[in-house]
Amino acid sequence: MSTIADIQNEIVAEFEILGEDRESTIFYIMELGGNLEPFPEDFRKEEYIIQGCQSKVWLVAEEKEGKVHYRADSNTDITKGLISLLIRVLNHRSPKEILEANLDFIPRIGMEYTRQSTIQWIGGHDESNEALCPSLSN
Amino acid sequence: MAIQVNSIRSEFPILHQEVNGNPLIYFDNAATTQKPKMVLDAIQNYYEVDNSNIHRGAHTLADRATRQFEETRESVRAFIGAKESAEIIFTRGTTESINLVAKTFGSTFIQKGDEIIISTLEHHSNIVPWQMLCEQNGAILRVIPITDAGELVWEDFEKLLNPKTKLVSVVHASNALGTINPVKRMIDAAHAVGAKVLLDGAQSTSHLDVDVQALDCDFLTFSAHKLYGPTGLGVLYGKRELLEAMPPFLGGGEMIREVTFEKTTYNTIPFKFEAGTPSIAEVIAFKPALDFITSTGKANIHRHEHDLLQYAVELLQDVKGVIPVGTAAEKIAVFSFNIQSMHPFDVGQLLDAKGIAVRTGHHCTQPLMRRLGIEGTVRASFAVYNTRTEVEVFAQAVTKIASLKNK
Repeated sequence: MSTIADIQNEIVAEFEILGEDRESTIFYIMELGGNLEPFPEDFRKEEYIIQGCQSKVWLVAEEKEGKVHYRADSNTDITKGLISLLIRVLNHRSPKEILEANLDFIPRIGMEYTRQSTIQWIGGHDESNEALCPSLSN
Repeated sequence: MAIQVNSIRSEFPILHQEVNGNPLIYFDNAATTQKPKMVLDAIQNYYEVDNSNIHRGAHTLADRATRQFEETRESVRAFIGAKESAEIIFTRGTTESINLVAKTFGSTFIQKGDEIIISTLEHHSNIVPWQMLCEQNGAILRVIPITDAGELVWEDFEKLLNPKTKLVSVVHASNALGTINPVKRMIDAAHAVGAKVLLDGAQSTSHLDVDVQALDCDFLTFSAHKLYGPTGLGVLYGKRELLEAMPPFLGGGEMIREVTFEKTTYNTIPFKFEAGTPSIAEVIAFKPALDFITSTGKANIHRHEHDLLQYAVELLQDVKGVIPVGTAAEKIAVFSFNIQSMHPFDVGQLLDAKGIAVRTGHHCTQPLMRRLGIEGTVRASFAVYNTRTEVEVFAQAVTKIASLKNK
């Protein structure tokens, strides 16, 4: 099985094809959101919302046989695309692998502003409400 | 007189840069305006030549800093047509100015069962301080409704006014929609029932002539950074008799006359409300910002910005999927809109990819967004240094984004 680092390198290579064009990068991320598995409507409630974001993000993490299974959704296409990438990197990993992961692909694909908060969020440190949240809802 | 926009742009160093490979188009002026070179120079000069604490030093630098600080107060007085400069209090911003009034005027002159009127258009900073006051003292907050176009419903405002109304605290021009409220009529109607009026001038003071004596408002609040001046500086204007009757806000240095452990007596206005060392550099650098506006001419600025707004509306009104939000007859140069089937955040990011800076979201007006049944908007807000060419580039970008989901 590929490591977290391998998958991140794969993603970075895919984005390199786009060059440094910001618009193409964003369009591609928006498209990727379409790959997310449909989010169960039962989970679309307040307790699964990441608070404080301008965009709404719902996140459910479940542990099955020692591996974490993520399901998430967002009402903005860019955030949804970023979530799909995070899930691609972190899904079906053990909590230990997730906590120890050096998540660096987001700045490497030019979406720097989400880096720190995103890592904290999906890595399970719930003190960060700024998850996937370049723009706070203030 | 037409605005010489190229010559004005040459005064703003920040505008001459590329963002994401495109020339920066800065349309987020309702959030904060950029600063002309004379403001930047004034800050630099203060720290290089005059840095000193004011109102207390027995030396030349302190005298120079104090004189320049007080010259700004006089400029602000002239800028808003106040009777005397003692009625000008420096604060950290509009938010602090409103909180100051809530904590001092509010806690002294508004009692349990009294009423405070605000409007649906208010920014959170003109909602939350009054809610906090009401929670504390049992006063009641009343809200003027709006029409779908974003205009206050006058009849409902009149119905809300009654002898229990102690304060009407209302925005002059809406930050989210641009609506200009009929504030002179509102002030007269409020005074007729004995209520005082606070005007939130955060958005209006940079675009419209605001004369506090002609309007007869009791308080006016605004922020320097939306008037081409530095951040961290605001103004509270209040009528002398009110400011004198109000207790101090913060306690400390500068605001006292004499301190003993038994009792402290307070300084006269404006110093009574300016505890501690103020933002000296920012105050001093605010004067060239005001001079810039005055020498350019408010009427010229308003005409230029209004032309840009009209042009944006004209270019985008028939574009499939573009939904303008806030269509009041009287507006400052704010173009708020949504794109069908897209979140404002995504639209803002795609505009940023083209070097166009706008604000997206609820604009600190969540109750207004709720009333309009939307989560937020994309807001382009224009200033004196923006051009028709920039509006064209913006309109092309918006048209392309709208076509993504509106074939």
